[in-house]
Order: sequence, then structure tokens, then C-alpha cells
Amino acid sequence: MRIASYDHFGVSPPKLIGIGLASSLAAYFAIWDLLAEALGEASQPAALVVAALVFYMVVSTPRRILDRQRLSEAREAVALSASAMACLSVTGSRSKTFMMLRPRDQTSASATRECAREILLGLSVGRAAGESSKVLVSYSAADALKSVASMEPDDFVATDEETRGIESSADLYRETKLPMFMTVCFFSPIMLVLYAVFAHIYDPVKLLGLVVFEFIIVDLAFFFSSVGRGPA
Amino acid sequence: MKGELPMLFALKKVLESADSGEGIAHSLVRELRGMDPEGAAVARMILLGQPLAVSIRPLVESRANEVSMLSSLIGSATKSSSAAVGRRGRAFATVLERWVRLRENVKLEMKVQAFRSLVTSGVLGAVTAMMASLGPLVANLNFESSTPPPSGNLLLAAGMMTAISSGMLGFYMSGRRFVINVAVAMLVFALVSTVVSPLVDIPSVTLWGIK
Repeated sequence: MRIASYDHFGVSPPKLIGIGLASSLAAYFAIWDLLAEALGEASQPAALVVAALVFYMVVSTPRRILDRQRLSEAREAVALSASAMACLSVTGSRSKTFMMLRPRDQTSASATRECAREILLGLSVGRAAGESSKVLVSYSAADALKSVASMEPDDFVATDEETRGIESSADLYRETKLPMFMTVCFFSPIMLVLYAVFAHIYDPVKLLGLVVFEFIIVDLAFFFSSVGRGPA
Repeated sequence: MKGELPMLFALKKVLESADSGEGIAHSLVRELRGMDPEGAAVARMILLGQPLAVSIRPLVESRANEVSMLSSLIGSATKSSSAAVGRRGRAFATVLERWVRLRENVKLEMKVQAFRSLVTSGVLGAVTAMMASLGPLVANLNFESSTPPPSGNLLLAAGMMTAISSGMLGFYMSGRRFVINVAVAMLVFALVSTVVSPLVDIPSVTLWGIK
């Protein structure tokens, strides 16, 4: 868990941890209530595991949003740099270039708009770019914005190194999480059917409880395997 | 022609033409006329006399991210210079082309993974059907008893679990085509449970007195 992600979105850590605890407690009691009949004593550890996963899901939400935003900004940085160079070579003015830039990514667009506003308010181009690039998560996007303020018309600055790094880490995530998810999907029904068989569970209500529990397990595994999959 | 790569190549040619002094609208019409519906729409709008910024909108709003990025750069030529956009855009187009090729590779890998998930779903259907059918008999371990517990509810629950698992696996691998995974798993499940269920009805022989 990176606290930097909390700072970026202005989220108060105690508040988010409180929400996480409340959600995990709700999940704990719901699972316990649901599985008490079917799993007996084993329902308590199962509910604890689910509650822990729910807690992690809630508290790691800012980090996941930040990762997604970073990829989007890093991809936009290359386009931003190319269109800034085209505008700069025509206008010859860095201030006018900032006014003309229209990035497609929302955060980059708001940073560029903010920069243009500060320039109109009388700030120097370099300072305005430096100030407004602070809201960007991706270092290539921030560099692209700052370099517009200092570049010459023949420079081409932004490269896709960061994007490639993020893409390759997404590949590694995929390679790691896919077998994990397949294992969960394959073995969870088998284990639960075995449990039902050896615990002599034939009551429809108890069996339905096991089906719901299986759905929860697979759903959580799906969530954790989907995180960081990248834009495949 | 369909796909992102042909469209990217066409837009790259447009940038090259712009760099050599040709008009962007003219080269867009030449390159996009025979392309997919979005490209054809752009060519048609230009020929109907719409301004470039308006005509290129179908490509800017395209679902393909890279095509959208490159076409918005071409669209920005109306505010700057087409020669400058052409010169700067070529390097950018090469970067985008690399991204699209990477994504195409990932898509190919995902097709193989989707096939693996189909096989896994089939095997899962077979295993759970076998266990739900024969499980009650084996779990009893009481060969004197002639009536194993009824496995109807267990079979139904095992079927539901198999459907959930194979559905999620299919959704993870191939999105909306998860139905195929569910269908394969349920078909194998039904087949195996039909084949195996008569074994449960065979009256067991009492082992008392043998030897």
C-alpha cells in the first residue's frame, strides 16, 4: 500500500481505513451468517479470509486508480510532445503553444488548461508548466509538459520508455495471475463438492450456501487477477 | 480493409505526404477511400466540403486509441501547419505502430489462453460431474448399505459451481464469449453425469461372509 496514492487524491488514510474496516466487518458477518450452517466451525476462518480481502480491496483503491491514470498519462505524453513541437515550430511562441494544446487524457488536459490559465494570469511559462505538472502522476507526461516551456523548435523530447515499462510489467502481472486464477476456478468447485460429499451435506439450503461461497471466492480471485492486467 | 494497423499505415502516409508539401485533405481522401466505414466516412465528408477538423471526427472518436491519437494530431494541423505536423507526426506514428503491434501480439496470446480455458472448463465439468455422481457412494464407505444417499441436490449444486467457475474463467479470457465456456463445461458435465449415474443404482453386494 503506497500512501503517496492517498496524498495524490487527497484521501485521508484514517477515513479510508475506517471505510475498509466497516466493509470488511460487513463482509465478515454476512459470510459467517451465510455459511454457518454449511461450513460449521470452518465458516469463521473463511469469513476472516474474505473480510481481509475486502479490506485490502477498499484500502488499495487509490493505488489502482493511480496506476491506471499513470498509464493513460504516459501514453498521452508522446502525443502531447509531438503536437507541442508542431505548434511551436509554427507559432514560435511557447505561451501560444500551451494555449493551442488539447490533450485527450483528462488529467493531462486539465494540467495543460491550468498551465494556460496561469500564463494568462502573468506567470512565466517555465513556472506555470512546473506548477501544473505537479498534478500529473506519470513522469514522462510531467517532463513533456515542462519541456514545452524550455524546448527549441527542433527538439523531440518525449519517448515511450515509461509506457513500455508499464506494458511489460502488465505482461508480467498477466503471466503470474493467469495460472493463479485458473487454479482457483478449477479447484474451488472440486474442493467444495468434496467437502459436501465427505461432510454429508445434501440439504438444498446448505448446498446453496456453498454455491454462493464458491461464487464469492471466484469473484474475489477475478478481481485480484484483473488488477494490473493492462490494456490488452 | 479492417483493423488498426492498416488505418495507422494510411495515416502515416498522410503525414508523409503532408511533410512533402501535399495537402492533408487531399491525401486523406486518397488513403482512406477504400478503408473501413470510419475511414470512408472521413473521405466522404471531405469530398462533401466539410472542414478538416469536422471531417476527421469519426477517426478522433474511434474506439482504437492509437488511431484516435494520430488523427487528433492530424486534426491539429488546421491550427498550426500541415508540414510541421507531418514532420513531427512521423516519429509519433512509428511509436504508435509499435504499441499496436505489441497489442496484436498480446491478442494472439490471449486466443491461445482462451482455448486453454475452454479445455479447463471441459475438464472441470467432467471432474465435478464424476465427483457429484459417485461421491455419495464412495463417501459412505459402507458396503453393507444398499441405498446410497440421494445425490440429486449435490449434482445440481456441482453443476451451478461448474457454471460459475467456467463462466468467470471464460469472462476473464474472452470477455463476452464466456457463454462458450459455460456451454462446454455444462455439456461435458451432463454427458459425464448421464454416463456415470447408472453406476450408483447398481445394488451393492454385501461383503459379510466372503472368505
